[in-house]
Amino acid sequence: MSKAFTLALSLLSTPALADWQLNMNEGVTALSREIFDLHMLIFWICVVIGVAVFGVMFYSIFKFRKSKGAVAEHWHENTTVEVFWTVVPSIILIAMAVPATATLMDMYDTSEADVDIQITGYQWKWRYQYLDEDIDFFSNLSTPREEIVNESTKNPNYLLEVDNALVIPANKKVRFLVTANDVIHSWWVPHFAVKKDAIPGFINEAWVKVEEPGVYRGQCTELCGKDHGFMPVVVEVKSEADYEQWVADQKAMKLAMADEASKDLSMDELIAKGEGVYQAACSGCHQPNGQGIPGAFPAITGSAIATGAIDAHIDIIVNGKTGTAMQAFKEQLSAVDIAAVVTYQRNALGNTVGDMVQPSAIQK
Amino acid sequence: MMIEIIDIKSSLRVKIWVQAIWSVMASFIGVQSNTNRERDFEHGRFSVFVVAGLLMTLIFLLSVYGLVQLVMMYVQ
Ligand code: HEC
Ligand SMILES: [Cu+2]
Repeated sequence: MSKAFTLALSLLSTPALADWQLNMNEGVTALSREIFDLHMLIFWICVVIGVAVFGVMFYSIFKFRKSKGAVAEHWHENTTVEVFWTVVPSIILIAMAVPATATLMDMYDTSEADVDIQITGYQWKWRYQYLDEDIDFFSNLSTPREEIVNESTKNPNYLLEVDNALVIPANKKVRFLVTANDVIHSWWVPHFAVKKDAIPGFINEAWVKVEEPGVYRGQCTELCGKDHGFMPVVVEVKSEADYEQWVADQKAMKLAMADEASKDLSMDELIAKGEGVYQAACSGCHQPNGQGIPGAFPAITGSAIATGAIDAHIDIIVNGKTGTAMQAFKEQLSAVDIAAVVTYQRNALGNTVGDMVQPSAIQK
Repeated sequence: MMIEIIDIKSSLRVKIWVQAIWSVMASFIGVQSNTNRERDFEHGRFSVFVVAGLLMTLIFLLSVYGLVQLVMMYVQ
């Protein structure tokens, strides 16, 4: 066997083909497969039309070429042909609209959902609120910084992994109410065939019913600022029993957190915890070393606020500063997290104020 | 004799309307033969075309509406 042939064979083997998948995803829900089938139907109609039209065109160009003595006809119009090529495409378009309407109506039918989840886009993270349960959390990118700055090798889920995944039950109709807090984002999970714009002040609806438990990944797909590429979507589909267990765990965790907020922590504990919070929630703007980005995000090192009165420092983190990228963190961070990050900023990143604040003193 | 003249007149009137409607339909799809265009511009009456145009627009809207209803029925 020649080298070229072997190469061609290996290119055609399945793993190589999988890497080169160009077609749309079939997805993992009945609806996503319906959309895929519609896509293929329209695709093949287009292929047939394309082959026919270009076939006739290239044949005519070749058959009646000048070198063979072809002479151009001089006529002005042919109403029959013109009507034919206007009416036939209209009929094809209308015929294609029939299955498309059927699929669209399925997609928009968000009625009778078993679980309602509000999804809110933030710069640059997602917030998931379970409307029937008292569950509300943020989902941040969890890819380590070293991988992003090429200091270590990238894992297979590079930039497609989060600290808290959205958890939904399998075989239940889950309705998503999608909106945004600051700018337009878009929530996209290819395997669900769900891509919904998240627009401040609007609520867009979508739904899924996933059959198989598993982990499905997606991204924000509306350019939304500096870290647009760093706010992935991860959805964990659990069996019904596992989902119930998860809901119970979430509630227990919430109680534990309230309990923790009433306890006092040592300065070292606060700083250690605060570093984690800072790297996850603040370093995107204020930078991991606290130097900020001049002109856009102020430095924390030597900042008048971070080294000044502690109340003003707490206030800007809890309530944000209206009209700037400095958002209110009172809903995203627990009292413990806020106390920790305040203490961290005052006593690390080159600052040495020496004071601290306890979670119980954080007024949200 | 009288009756015959009326007949010719009314059949002429029908012809004018039919021609105008055909021309309006042709304009909807953007296809018209040169002969018909010249005939319309030489003998046609403006008001007839306006009325025929409005009429056909209404029919077009109704048929789109009807088509959508039909598809929705088929879909559900
Ligand atoms: C999306 C970008 C962004 C993120 C994330 C962010 N900040 Fe800010 N922060 C800003 C901007 C912009 C300002 C300046 C606001 C202004 O114009 O006064 C600011 C100001 C501050 C200040 C006052 C600094 C000074 O001297 O004016 C503090 C303190 C601060 N942020 C703390 C935090 C903490 C703690 C976090 C994480 C929990 C955080 N920030 C996350 C953008 C951000
Ligand atoms: Cu976004």
